[in-house]
Amino acid sequence: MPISIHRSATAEDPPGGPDERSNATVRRLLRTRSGVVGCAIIAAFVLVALMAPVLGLWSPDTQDLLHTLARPSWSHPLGSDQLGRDLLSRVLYGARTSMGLALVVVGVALVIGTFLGLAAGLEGEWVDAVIMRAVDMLMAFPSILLALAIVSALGSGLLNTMIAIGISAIPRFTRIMRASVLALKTQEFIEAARAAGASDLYIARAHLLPNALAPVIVFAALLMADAVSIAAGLGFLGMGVQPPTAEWGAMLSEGRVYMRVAAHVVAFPGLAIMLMVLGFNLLGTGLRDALDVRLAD
Amino acid sequence: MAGYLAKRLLGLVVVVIGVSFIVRLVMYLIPGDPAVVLAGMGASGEDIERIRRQLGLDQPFLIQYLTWGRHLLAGDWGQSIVSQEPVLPLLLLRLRFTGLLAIAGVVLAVVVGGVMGIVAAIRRESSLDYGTTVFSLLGVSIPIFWIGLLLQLCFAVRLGWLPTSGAGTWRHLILPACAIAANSIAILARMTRSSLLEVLGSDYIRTARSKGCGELRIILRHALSNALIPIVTVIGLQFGYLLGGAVLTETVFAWPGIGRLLADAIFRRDYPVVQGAILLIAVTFVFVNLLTDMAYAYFNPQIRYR
Repeated sequence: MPISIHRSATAEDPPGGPDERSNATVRRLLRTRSGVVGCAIIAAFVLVALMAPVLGLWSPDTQDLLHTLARPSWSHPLGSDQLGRDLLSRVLYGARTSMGLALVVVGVALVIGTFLGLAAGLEGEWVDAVIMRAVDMLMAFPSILLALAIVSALGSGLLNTMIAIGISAIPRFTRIMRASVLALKTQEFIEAARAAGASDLYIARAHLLPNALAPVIVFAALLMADAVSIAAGLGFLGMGVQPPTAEWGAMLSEGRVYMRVAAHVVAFPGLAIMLMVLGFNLLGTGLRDALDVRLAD
Repeated sequence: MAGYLAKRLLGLVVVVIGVSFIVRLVMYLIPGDPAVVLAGMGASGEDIERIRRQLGLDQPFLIQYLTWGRHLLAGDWGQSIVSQEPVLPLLLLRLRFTGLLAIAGVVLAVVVGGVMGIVAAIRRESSLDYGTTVFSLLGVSIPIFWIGLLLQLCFAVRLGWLPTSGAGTWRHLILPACAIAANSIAILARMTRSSLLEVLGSDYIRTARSKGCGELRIILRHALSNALIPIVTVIGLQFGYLLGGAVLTETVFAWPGIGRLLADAIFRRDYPVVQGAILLIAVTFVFVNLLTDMAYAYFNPQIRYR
């Protein structure tokens, strides 16, 4: 996916320090409809993920073999699964798993990918050539396939899932950061800094990074959506986070056998995946409008 | 066009070499020893050593890669550890099923997504338009394996209209094709709508209207033919992503495609099949992307001369 980036006028950003600027961004984000809905969904997920242990729920691992596959009721609002575990609790703890995983993966990929993109864009020549050829090759795989390949070598589990998804996310950040840097590099304020004797490192830190960050942030939100859905896909295939950990994809794969007699076992985890992915997609769209970034294919 | 084609083909060769390198590297990094797996339980140290030498696993990585590459080009993709079948014919057989599924998915996505997008663009700001927007938001967010399970539950288990899983008749194809197309329908609906709206605002459409052209003719003849360029790109990209998503859909519906083969092979540690399947899917993906770019260049001469 060739990506080009247009960011209208860095010079016209509101005056003031970084704090004021980010406040203005948040205000603009909350003025877009997708931004508001996306923020609400994600905030709700973050809240339940953090609060899950203190909400007075059943433990996600407590089995009740006398009441398996129970339909939703007052004591189990979403019913229970094939081992009699409380489904509400497992869905909420699943939010913890997915949210935590996606945050760490995208965070680490963002740092590494941004750094590589900065290096490629700023240094040019052979640094650029080496980094970008590697990026091209990694991006020649559909991301779920690359993640599968890596998991097939490393084995399943939480950490390996994170590594697999992270490796497929890094080149996307690299490409987008490099494109931003290349667009900025020829602008006058960079030339001025160079003429004033600033070093590459200083220019990268003080000028390029802050100005190139907007598309990276937008992309991070969209990649969170991808990370959540790929992690769930790997879990569903039995190659991601392993049971008994509450993970939505694994829950679906365990529950599908009982789908005929207890549809709720597959309904709620899937719904949760969809909502979280939707939330991050909306947040990304909202941020894109608020930061005035165009990610063009 | 010929020069552009040559340049792109050369790029393709480089990427395919890179892709095969990555696949082999990942397989090389597998902890544990494939020779031990191959030799089976109770094999003596000598047996394992012999197998290792036979497979060239005692060689350094680069030599292994070059030998493997030479065999690949000669059509020798190795043997399945589990069934002892040669890998390449097995893969090609399964790829046909995946291709059928992906083509059905793309056709469905183009027809349904295209019609939704056109209707939404014509009836802008109507409830149909908002409905399409909401649908496409949900559609891009829905996990395909989940919608697969729901379709199975609804149309196969409860209503009994269609078979739950497997392949054989065209009736087996319907549910997996719907599941695999869900995301693409949503993306195409949104893309068609926005690209059509952009074109509908232009001067030559106003000219066509003022000379008394019928609305339907304007949409189909004048607007759509120009709005088609970005849509073609999206269709090509979607086809590639359907290949990746096939692993999930095929697992849900027990569809005998290459994705399910890959998933099974990973579980059985059948590494020759794993690396062959990943390589073949990735190369198909790269090739489809190239075809997409060619189509794009064909429709849009600006690209060719850049």
